[in-house]
Amino acid sequence: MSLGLCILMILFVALLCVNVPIAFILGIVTVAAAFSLGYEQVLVTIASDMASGIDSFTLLAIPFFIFSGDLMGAGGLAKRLIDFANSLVGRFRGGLGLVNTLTCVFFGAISGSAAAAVSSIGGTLIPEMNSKGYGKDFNIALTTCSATTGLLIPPSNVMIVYAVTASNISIAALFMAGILPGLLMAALLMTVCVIISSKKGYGGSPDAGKVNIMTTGWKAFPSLLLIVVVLWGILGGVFTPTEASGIAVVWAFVLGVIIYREIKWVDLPALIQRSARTTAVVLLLVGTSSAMSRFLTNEQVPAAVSNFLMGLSDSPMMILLTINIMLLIVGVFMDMTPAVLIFTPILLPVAVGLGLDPLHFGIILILNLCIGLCTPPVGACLFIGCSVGKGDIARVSKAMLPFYAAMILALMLVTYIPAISLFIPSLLAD
Amino acid sequence: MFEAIHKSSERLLGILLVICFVVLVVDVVLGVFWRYVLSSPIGWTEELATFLMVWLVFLGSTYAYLLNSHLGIDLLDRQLDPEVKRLMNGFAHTLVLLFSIGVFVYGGVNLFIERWDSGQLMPTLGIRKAWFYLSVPVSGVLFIVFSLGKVLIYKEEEKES
Repeated sequence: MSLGLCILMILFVALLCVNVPIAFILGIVTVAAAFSLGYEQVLVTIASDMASGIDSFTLLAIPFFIFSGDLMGAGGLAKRLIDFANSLVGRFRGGLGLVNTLTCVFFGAISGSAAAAVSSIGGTLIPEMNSKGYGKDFNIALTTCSATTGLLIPPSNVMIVYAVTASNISIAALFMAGILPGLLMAALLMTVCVIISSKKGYGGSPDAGKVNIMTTGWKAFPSLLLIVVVLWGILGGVFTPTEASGIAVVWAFVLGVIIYREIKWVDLPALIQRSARTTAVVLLLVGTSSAMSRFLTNEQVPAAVSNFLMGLSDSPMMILLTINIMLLIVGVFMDMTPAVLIFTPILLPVAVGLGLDPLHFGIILILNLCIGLCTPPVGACLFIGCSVGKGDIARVSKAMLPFYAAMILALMLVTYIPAISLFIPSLLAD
Repeated sequence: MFEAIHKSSERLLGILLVICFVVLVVDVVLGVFWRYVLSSPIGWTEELATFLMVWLVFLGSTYAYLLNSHLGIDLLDRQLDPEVKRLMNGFAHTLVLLFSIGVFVYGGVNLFIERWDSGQLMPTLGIRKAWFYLSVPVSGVLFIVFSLGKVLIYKEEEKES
């Protein structure tokens, strides 16, 4: 391995440890490595890469999906979706748990971020589950894991980041590839929920049977209408993802502010500022990481990593397993967006070399990092779950164990059965 | 002094970001409306959108930095004693300061000059592309002020204790 790469890696880990923001670390290590290798015009090139890296109309979908997610979270959409899910599955054993996961699936299908799902669905459902006798740690664990299914179910911000980083990948195709893996993960989480509920006697709520599906469905209908915009609009090629995200913002605004009236006009500036902040955090990362990945490509690092991994074993199964374990470890320590930005350019060539479809690899990558979102010490969803549910991170993590097992099972199935990811895109490609 | 600067910058940036975000949404929605409903697309909406976005991102990052919302890994400093923690904090912000001076301001100013001299235009908006790149040095100046403040405030705290 080259000198530049060594400097880059050692410095990277050292700076992570002293808590420099990752967006800056990516820039700093690139400057250091490029200087030590005698590159010229380093500072100007990096400044230019940072700005050009976000000069893309496609990336604009990210702020809009962030904002529409925040609007949906504050706008009372979760409540309607919960009622609808309750009328569908609430009467079964472990009913509210199933309602929880199903609502996350609905929410995931209209919004692109898991954080909004944990806080808005968890904020309503966790207290209700607590009062119906479900274990508190179980409730938080279930909400946290279920919310990450939304990152696989379209629309999904992290998929846009992956598609832009990987280049030459259609966002619509990637969105389609995520549908079955997301549903598979939800189904496995629900299975775990039913098993635990039967053991511990968490009951279906008896009053749930009386709720009329038509009534709740009618009330949830305006929220679910966004699924049509996304599925028909983006997947059918009518809208670009950016245009669809703009429509999602308008619709979420109309619902939250005008129809449901749960967001007051005076709340809007603070809501927008929060979305702007999240946007800036994500896209500054995209900018600095594009400077770094250009440096890595110049130094032929992806090829070196590829050769190294290919040399480990003759069996693609084993190499894929190694990559999965590596990504799981990365996910434990790093947030999703930086991990996708850093590892896509390095690992995608390996995956393609193994004969994987870039769509399939994207789903594997994201599913791995979904698990990381639910693990300490760096797990954004786990932290939000614990804060809305007022739980202790260590105890919740223990309650997570069966859910981790379900997610890892989903990961293995998705990794070794490409059809789960590629079936729907192949249907619509013809 | 820095605290006062930070407070008023936070206010001002907050307002700017809201305006920028709202214009951005309106711009894209207008683009969609004209294209699909009136079937006569406006040429400049996409270019204006990316222009606004780059400003939103760079100004927004300084705002996020001010409010400490950038992603990092704070696993080590939880168990450390406050002295070491403060030292690390100061070190981290000093690095941000150096990076801002070198890349954002020095690199950014040169980038701006280079693009200005090239005379490159944004085709549909008809203004110089250099305005797009100006967001880098401008945010760099803010980063310098904010990080300097964070380093110095930390030092003041140290003296007090």
